Amino acid sequence: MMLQEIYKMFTRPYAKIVLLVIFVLMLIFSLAFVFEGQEYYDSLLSTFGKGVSFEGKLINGNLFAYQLFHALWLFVGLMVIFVSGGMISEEKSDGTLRMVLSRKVSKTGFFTARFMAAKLYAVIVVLFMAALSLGAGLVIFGNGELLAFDHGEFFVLTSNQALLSFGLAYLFYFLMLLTVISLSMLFSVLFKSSIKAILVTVSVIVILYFVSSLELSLFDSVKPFLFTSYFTSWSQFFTTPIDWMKLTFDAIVLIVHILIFYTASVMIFSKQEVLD
Amino acid sequence: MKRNLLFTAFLVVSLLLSYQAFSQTGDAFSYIEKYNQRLDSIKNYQAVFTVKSEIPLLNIPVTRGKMFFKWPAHYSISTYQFTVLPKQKLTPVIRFLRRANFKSIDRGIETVNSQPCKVVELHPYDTTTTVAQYTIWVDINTYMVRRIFVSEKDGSEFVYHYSYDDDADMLPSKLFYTFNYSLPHEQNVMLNPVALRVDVENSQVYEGKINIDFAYSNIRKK
Repeated sequence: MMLQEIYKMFTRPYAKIVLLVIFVLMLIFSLAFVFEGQEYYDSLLSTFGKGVSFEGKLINGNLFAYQLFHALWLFVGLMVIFVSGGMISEEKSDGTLRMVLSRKVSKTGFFTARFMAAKLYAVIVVLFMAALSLGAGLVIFGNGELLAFDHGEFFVLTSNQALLSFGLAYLFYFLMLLTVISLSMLFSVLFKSSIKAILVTVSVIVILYFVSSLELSLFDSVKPFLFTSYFTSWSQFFTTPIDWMKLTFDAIVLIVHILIFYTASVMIFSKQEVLD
Repeated sequence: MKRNLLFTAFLVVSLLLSYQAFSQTGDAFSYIEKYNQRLDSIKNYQAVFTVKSEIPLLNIPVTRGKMFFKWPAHYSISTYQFTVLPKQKLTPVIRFLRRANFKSIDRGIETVNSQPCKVVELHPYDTTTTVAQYTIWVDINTYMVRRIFVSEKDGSEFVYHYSYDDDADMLPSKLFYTFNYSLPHEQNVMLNPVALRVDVENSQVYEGKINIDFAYSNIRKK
């Protein structure tokens, strides 16, 4: 059943469209990077440039991948919802869910298989992003140091450090995608219409992310409880020294959210009556 | 008669004062010229250098590079990694300063690293240049430059501190460079597209430090 669900997942039109959109966005970004990348970084470094001069090649594959990651992470996160948001509700609206469940399949087993297929899709999305940004970037622009920035501070990472940071950042980004997917599947269980499930998930994430990003003390006490507050933690893998304690905690928070959304979905789904 | 005497006395005093001023100016700049003359005796050299920087808001690991010099003025640098260097890179700051372009003022003698140094203040005649003033500390015994303070018209200030080993002669074994800069608020927001947070104080002046160690080889003199 697992293989069947994976096959179904990848035959969904949205699954291919998301990958295609990532590819198109990467092409657009490449053009901007080639034509204006050097100028952009020169202007950024000119802040320090009055008293200092910089030596070495800055425009390289690592910087390309890093910038592309910054440009795409939120879009990709939201686009994945189009795939996962309809995974249960679409079957409900099409009336095929009853037929699927009439076979010797438990509801928990069915949902878990779907969840695992979505998880695999998240892995593929992250690998696709990594191959397009880091792989293509290194082939086209070559290797070199990475000039990263976080909270208004620059960090120059050696090429080896950068590679490790990318690996860890992609891993964390996978957790972020999985949180989004599990939330969208929860709404997919709750709503019969896939459009409703997708829209509600996008709205919840946009609103919570907006609150997480606001620099107002009013929301300071709420922010630690919002999973969206940990969405950008992957960028901290590009700082030195890496705050392992904080990032481990952030990852645990996301994992706990994934488990909560998954458990809630299974509980609700197993109690739901499947009608035509 | 009295008037003539008074005029003669005034003339003598004026001449004496102007001679003193001229001789003081000449003396002050001559220290820089002597340094440049000694530096000019080196035909070529190469050096391996290590850069350690301590720049707020810019974290760069320790980097290494190579430097080549060929007389009269060919300086080239190759670095293994992306790195930060002082404004004039590794070219000696006062190597190409000419007497005709500056008004020099003798600021007496000060001790730098237990060495007595002549303090020379230079003001460029060219009003279009960005430099407002150089203050140079030249060792009165060896003519080695121990410290250079550069002040620019926009308020930027750079200080070069040089240390020497005995065997490298006029070439510094260490350069400690400090500079100031401020990060504009708008730039900071642009730097950080991930978070909307701005935890850097608007237009605060920061001090950056760069430490460079040199290891010379193939020093050839004329």
